[in-house]
Amino acid sequence: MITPQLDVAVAARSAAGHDTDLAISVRGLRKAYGPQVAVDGVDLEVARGEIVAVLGPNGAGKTTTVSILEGFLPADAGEVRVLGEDPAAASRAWRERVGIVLQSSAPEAELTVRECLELYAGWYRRPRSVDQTLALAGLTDRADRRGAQLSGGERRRLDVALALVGDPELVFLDEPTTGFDPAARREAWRVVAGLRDLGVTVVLTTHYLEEAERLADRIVVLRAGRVIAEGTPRTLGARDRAAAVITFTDADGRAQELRSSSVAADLQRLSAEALARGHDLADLEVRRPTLEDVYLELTDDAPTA
Amino acid sequence: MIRHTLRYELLTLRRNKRARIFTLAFPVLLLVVLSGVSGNATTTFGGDTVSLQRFFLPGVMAMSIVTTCFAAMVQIIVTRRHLGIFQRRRTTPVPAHVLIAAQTLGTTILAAGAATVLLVVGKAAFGTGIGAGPLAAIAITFVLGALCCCSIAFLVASVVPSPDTAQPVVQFIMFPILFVSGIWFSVDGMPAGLTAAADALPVKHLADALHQAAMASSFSDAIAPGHLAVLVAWGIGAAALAARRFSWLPSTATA
Repeated sequence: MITPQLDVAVAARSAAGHDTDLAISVRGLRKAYGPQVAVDGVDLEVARGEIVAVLGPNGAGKTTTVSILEGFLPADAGEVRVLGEDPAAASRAWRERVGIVLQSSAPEAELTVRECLELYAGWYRRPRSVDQTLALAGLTDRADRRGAQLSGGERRRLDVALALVGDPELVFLDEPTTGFDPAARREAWRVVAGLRDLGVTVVLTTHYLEEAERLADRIVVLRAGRVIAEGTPRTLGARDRAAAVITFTDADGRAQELRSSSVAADLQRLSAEALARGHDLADLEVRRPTLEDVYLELTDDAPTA
Repeated sequence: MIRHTLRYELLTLRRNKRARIFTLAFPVLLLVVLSGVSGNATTTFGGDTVSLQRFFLPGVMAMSIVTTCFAAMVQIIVTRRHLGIFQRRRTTPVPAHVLIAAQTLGTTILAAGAATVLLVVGKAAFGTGIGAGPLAAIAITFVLGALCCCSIAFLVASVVPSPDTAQPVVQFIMFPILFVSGIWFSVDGMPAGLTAAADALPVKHLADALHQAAMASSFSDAIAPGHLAVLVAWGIGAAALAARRFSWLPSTATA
């Protein structure tokens, strides 16, 4: 039972909340390079504290969209609010609140990791301490190494550290683990997962499904400059409601595949038949469509715009 | 904030082997070789006969300013832009003018180091001592020349697409200009067309102003307001054009 006062409070919060609870709000975003349309009417909302992965094949408009949200590219049309401001007219105060990991950027070769963080920290009014940032990015034992001596994974972690040293509310990660070996990727994921604990809002672009599934609260799939699907890793593309697939080898040695919407009943029927024929169903498998199945279906025949 | 950024800019330059060799060691070597082989020979500057050793010191200094504040500067700007270092810096609240000022000052300080070494080596090895008045004129000329070259560097960097093209573009611009600007040999007898071209460009004015200062005995004889005015005009003109053209983003960022 909700008390009248609480009711009023909830109503007030949701009325004001439309703006204040959203870190990002995008409506009808369009961007073309000459005749080539890169972003074709994207709508996107990201709540504060949420981790959203923007997924899509190469050329889907991920980097263009993110570059506009980061204030590096003007939009052709549409309404874009990031932390309540239009990023195209980003103020210094806005840059204080946003951390950005670009798709590619080399380290400052002659500076050590610590010096580089000190340099960047000096540009913010209230930076996170350098030692704390080093720890967050897992770079404490690399602090005195020069940029030129860092491995690929360490360079990327330095990028993340530089994006965090300003103590941002919102962080953009543009393909943070592209080209990584599996160990470096896992290490980077650990860093991003750490951002969740800090309550930081994260927008992540990637073309690795496992990365999106592992890290994101919500996945937005872009294709040819449009949002074609949106949902949690469990519900994307109605994956949770899709028919399960049962595979097994029957008594005559033939591989069988059944689509099933009532798994328990179908299994009971199958095992009854198998028992009756003295067959074991040793390789029986029941599986839901994986995120990859759903994603490939969604982005099938994607024109590379 | 400029001082904070400058500190790390100097740290970067100090640790850059290329910068150490090309901007410090190379001009000194050139001065020693040129002055060493010239012995007591003489040349003419503005019609007056001067010893080659006294002629080479300001000439090499002018070349050192151009290689450091123009050639090396273009390379550093284009490389940083290409590698995304500039764009990453621009993701922070740091204003553009802080980055530009820190990089310009850092390079100018490096060039000042080279100029000081040249003056010391010139006096110690070849006895080309310079009085306090002319030295002040050299310092003023140096600062205006260095700033002018840095400004032109930002302009050239704004039209050079990648680090691979920076090197040939810079050499193509720099070497012919150095040749006609009276740095390695007197250009008193140069054809009129080349003289006119050299007069329109800033390097000859920088070299002439430094030569005049190095050969004078008082500040009023040493300072060359006409030449300095040309340097200032080039510096402001290049900066104004660069401000309209320059981008911090790598050329692939919009692809």
